Amino acid sequence: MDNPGPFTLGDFQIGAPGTQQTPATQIPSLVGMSGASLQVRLSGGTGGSTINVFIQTSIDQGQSWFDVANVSFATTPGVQVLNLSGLDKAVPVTPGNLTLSSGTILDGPLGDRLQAVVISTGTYGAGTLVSVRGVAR
Amino acid sequence: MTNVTALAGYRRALNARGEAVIVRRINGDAASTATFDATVIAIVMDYQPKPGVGTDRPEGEITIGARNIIVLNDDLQNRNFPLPITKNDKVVVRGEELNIISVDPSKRGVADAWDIVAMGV
Repeated sequence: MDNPGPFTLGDFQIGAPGTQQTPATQIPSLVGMSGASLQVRLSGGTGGSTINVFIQTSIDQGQSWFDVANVSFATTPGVQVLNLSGLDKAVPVTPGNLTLSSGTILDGPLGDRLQAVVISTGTYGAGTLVSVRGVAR
Repeated sequence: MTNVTALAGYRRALNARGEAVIVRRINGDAASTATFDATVIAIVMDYQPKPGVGTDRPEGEITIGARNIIVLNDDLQNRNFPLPITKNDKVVVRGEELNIISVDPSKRGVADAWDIVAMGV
């Protein structure tokens, strides 16, 4: 692939309920990617209710995005890691946008870019941060 | 638009006298911070010592110095650094973490290079 190695999908300050996503200018180019390992970290994390981190990819050059993973947190800081494989064969599926069930991965379809969409409910205290890192190969 | 001849000239200069530095982005508030590092080749020059900020003995004088650092946008993109570089990003030069106090994408824009001034103790 063109740029194997580490990448970031962003660091998101969590406060009031809302939705944030990787800035368009900071979406990494991952042309040729056949797989990626991702780490989603919640630090701080006092108060609040739930945080869902959707990992999305695009096959049509960013015109539409669909979910390939959904990682969730409650009020406890923690780290979750996951692996995405673009080499797995599976049955055709209808792509979903922010609909993938919590704690699941859609293996197989993997485009040339990734983004994170973070949805929080409840109000988290100052210093709450979600960071998403990956290594592409 | 990038001038390919200018870019090639910068690339030759980097190959001849460049050194590896780490461009670092730190987000979040202490103690919940997240860091992303990109190691690229840069030209580091023009160390400019500033007047001492502390003269207590026996510790001696503490001197702050600024450096001019040039890196190529292509190299940062290839390392997936979340561009643009911004004020208060860091550059680690020979193990010393410098704070970026100004960044100019236009001055060397003909070669798509970033002109950075970073300061450390």
